[in-house]
Amino acid sequence: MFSIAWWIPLLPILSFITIVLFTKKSKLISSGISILVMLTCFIFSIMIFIRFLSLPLSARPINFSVPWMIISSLHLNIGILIDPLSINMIVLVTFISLLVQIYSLGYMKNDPRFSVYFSYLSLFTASMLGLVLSNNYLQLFIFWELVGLCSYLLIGFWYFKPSAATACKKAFVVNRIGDFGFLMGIITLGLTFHAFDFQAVHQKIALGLNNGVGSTAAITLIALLLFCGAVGKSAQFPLHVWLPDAMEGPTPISALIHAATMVAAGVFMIARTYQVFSASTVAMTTVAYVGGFTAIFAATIALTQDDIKRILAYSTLSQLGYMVLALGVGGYTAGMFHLTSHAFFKALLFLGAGSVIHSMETNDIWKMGGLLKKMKVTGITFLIAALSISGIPPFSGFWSKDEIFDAIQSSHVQGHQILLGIAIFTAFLTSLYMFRLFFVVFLGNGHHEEDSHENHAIHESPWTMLVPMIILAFMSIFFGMINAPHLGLYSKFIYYGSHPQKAPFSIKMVLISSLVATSGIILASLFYWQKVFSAKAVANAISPIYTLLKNKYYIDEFYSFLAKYFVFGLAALCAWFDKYVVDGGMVDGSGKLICAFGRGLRKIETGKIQNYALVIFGAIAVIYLIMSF
Amino acid sequence: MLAIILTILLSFMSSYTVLSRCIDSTGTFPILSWFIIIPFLSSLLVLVFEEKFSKWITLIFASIELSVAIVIFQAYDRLKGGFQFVQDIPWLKNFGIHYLLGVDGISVMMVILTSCVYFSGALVSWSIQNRIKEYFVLFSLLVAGVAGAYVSLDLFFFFLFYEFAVLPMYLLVGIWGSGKKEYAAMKLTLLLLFGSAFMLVGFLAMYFGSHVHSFDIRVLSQISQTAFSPKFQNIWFPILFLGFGVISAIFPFHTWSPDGYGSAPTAASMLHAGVLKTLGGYSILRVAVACMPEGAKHWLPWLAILTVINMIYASLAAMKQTDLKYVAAYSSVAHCGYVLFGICTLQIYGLDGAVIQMFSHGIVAALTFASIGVIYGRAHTRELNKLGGLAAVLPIIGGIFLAGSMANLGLPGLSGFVGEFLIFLGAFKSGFHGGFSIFEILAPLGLLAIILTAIYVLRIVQIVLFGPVKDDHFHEIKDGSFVEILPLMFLLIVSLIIGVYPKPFIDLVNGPVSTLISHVGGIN
Repeated sequence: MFSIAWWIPLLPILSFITIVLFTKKSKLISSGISILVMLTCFIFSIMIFIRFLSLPLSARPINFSVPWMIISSLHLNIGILIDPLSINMIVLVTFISLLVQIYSLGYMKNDPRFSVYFSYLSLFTASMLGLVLSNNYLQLFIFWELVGLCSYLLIGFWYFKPSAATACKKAFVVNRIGDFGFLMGIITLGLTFHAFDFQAVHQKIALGLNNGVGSTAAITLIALLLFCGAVGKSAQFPLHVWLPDAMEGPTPISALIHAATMVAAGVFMIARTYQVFSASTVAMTTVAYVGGFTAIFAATIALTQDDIKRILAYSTLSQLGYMVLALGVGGYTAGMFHLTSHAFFKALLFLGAGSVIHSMETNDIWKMGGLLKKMKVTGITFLIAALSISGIPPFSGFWSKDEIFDAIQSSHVQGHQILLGIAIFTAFLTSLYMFRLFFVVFLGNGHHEEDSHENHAIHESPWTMLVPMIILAFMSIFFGMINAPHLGLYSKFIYYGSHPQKAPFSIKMVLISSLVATSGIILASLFYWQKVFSAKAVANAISPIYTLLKNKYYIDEFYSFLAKYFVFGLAALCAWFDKYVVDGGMVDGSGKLICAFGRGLRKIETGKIQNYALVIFGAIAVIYLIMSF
Repeated sequence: MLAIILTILLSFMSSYTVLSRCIDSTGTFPILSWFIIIPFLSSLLVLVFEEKFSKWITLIFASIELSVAIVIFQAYDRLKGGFQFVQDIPWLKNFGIHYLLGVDGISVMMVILTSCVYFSGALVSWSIQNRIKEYFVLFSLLVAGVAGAYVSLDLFFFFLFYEFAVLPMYLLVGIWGSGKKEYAAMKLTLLLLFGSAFMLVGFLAMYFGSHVHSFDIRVLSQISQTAFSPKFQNIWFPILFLGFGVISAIFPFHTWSPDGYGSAPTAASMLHAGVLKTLGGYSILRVAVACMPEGAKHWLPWLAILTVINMIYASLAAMKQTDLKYVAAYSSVAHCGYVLFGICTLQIYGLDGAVIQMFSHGIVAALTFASIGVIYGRAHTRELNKLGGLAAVLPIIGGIFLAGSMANLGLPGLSGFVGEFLIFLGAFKSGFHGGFSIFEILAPLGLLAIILTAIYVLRIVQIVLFGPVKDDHFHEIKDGSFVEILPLMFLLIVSLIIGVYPKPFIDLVNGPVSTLISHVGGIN
């Protein structure tokens, strides 16, 4: 029965091929195929989930493999690994993808490349499902790259916009930089353990078969290199720059790929290869600190942005930082739990933003305002998501974030108190920027009346867009409760090691986190709703800091400086060297030299008998002189 | 359209049926000779018949050639391994020169490659208008030369066939080319002949250096341990390597490639980048490494430095080119660097990867040049600053160009990834091999090329396809016709097959590679 898992990535691939080759002309058939396939995949995933629950522990996990390449004793396979982690991901990915595809029916209705859009979505989902179902490192990398391709295609979906064309290239190249390390890590790992299969490698690590000299150092190196991949894909500092720009793509894409699923692949990868990471303290500490830093770093930027999607993008960065942090401090369950609950509310936030953009035709939050009255469903679902992400009990985000705090609290990573402080402060920033956004867009009195939107009636979105949002809102409220204390369903299903480990639930932490979140909301309301304080005045008062944040710490500028003067400078040097030194100097030069030599020789061939006679007698004279000495 | 499909199918199917029956009944059917004769025959018939039949004759024979290659691929006995379908006819007996043909797994890959590029090249040449007859005569002659070089086991004939391929190339570039075509043709030919001078000297050294006076590659590699002293090998190996390296555009002898491809007509660039260039890497394996194992072990780690320069330097240079074809040409130089780098690892993964990469580079380079040819045919310019926004007017061709670019940057699922992955697996493995090894530095350095490749490939995709439509004339452009799309799709599918399921091809290559490795005594 579990072999239906093969169909989960295969069906969307078939749907991609069908749409591209045959049904591109018909919007209805193309989107129909794509959505039906996704529904089937979702049902299959649920079936696998239910069936898996009834399996005894000894029969887990399920592993299928077919050989992909065999080189002497090294077997490279393509396969499927069904365990709680992959089940979590396939259910999540098919669910969000299904909702986003339904949403896209409305959102992309008037796009001329509607069918192409759906084919890309199918391809993306197929790649993502292939990624999460991988049973070995190489396959993980293969699908890792393929989701990158889909991300590239979808960010650049409106390729005629120069900004989109640049953004998709940037996303790909930045990811490639991470993949450089990732691939090196995979190769090193494969050569060290002479295997690529997760189970084989992890068994070897667990059994300590690799007790050679410096094996800890080797594992640390491998883990850090693998982490490079996660830093790229999950947009952690310093490779975070691509994600905000990725918002150039259609908004449903931002919801599916750049918030809920693909960007979480890095986090998933760390969880998947947790045996490697947890074998190295250095690696775990690095992971924790990079995650913690990204969390707070991105949250500060989110405070100052004006573009609704960019605010959400920085928020995604920050939340991904939380997940990475959680994994780094040993909170395996906490990290995955936050990944899942984040997928629901962040997808909802983006879909809500899409709904707003759909009717306002602008991304600038200052041009919006008071939308709650005109777009009730959007407004309320957005509020639910905002409460959830801010960590207000009893919404989903509260439970998962609390889990992370508990995990940090009980961890052994050096300086975990600092990390906890960072995490809590970030929670405050989160509710602050989130409700800044909410108040400005939905409650504030924006400038849209006097804008060009006078004759453009602001309307609620069609039901195809609203239904997915309502479903997600439901999940954003209730999902977290499955892991409430004494219930702990999630912890019992997904855990690392031999038995569930739930960090102790502390009331103190609950109080602190809710207090922090609430104070963020209150502060936001004072600034942006009640206007008790003026945000502008604060910004002016701390203007150097404000400018720094507004410009995202100038990191993009720094990178483009590096790219322009270092990489392209080097490229110009090579191109010049090739043209003038290698080609002009050596190749043409040697040609010219030979020609010149020929011309020189030609002068000797004068055709005058006197000259020849002179040479002959001269030579004889010289020979005679030499001989006579 | 229907006529073309029918022609292809009929000639392919009928010859496939006949050949697969022939090869079953007798083990001595000279299929490799047919592989060489078919393109010869094609150019002969084109010469005899009227001009309007030229392209049809070529298409028929190219389809037949494809079926020959597939029959060879199927009939090659993987379990038995070694050289098969061997045909040995003494030619100049006193000098030990034989008309000696035979293929092992590596050459079978090259046979398929040659026929694939021949077939797609024939279709790409459909739009040739000028001196049609002469063009197709030379085109098939070139293929015959390359095909002969790939299946020859006698160095004399190998050399003969190779020179046979270079001269038509000179004329193809010089007559049907564009831009500085005379200069480019001359430069290409002279540099290639410069390389073959080294080759020839190396061949003669082996011939006279051993007591058997044979040009038979099998014999030479068998006696190499006893007949050629380490000193002899250390002197002659680098000479042969560089001689072959020139064919594969090794730094600093690569500059024929950008100018040559920049000026050559589309199908000539395809053939050259696709099959002729690959011959360099192939012969290094087949001749230089096999016949001088000691020299190889001594020199390859150092020569690897040159190949890494190829990868990094050519990728960087590609970033700054302003002509679409020059980007593709530098990209081809860089990819040949991967091939040679894989060979330099002298390690089973690396060599497997190198062979797969040769094949992949052949297919992908042909695909790239073919799609550039179509784009050039529409936009009438290859200048990057004049192109832009073509995705809007050329959705199909643009899509294929994008897919080809992805194959170029080694995206998994397409052939490039398989080769590159194995090459780096081999390189890192060489670095792992106890003690200091130069590969500890070269492997990560070479891997940097995957980032650089992404940068230059995506740069041209962005410039050519994305953004607003740059020129008003571009709005009148129509998307590719059936004849233009067919060869591109064909090449793309070949690349896809290897990328999705490389096992049958790896199985094919594995045998001869491990034989070679154990012969050399490299790292297994």
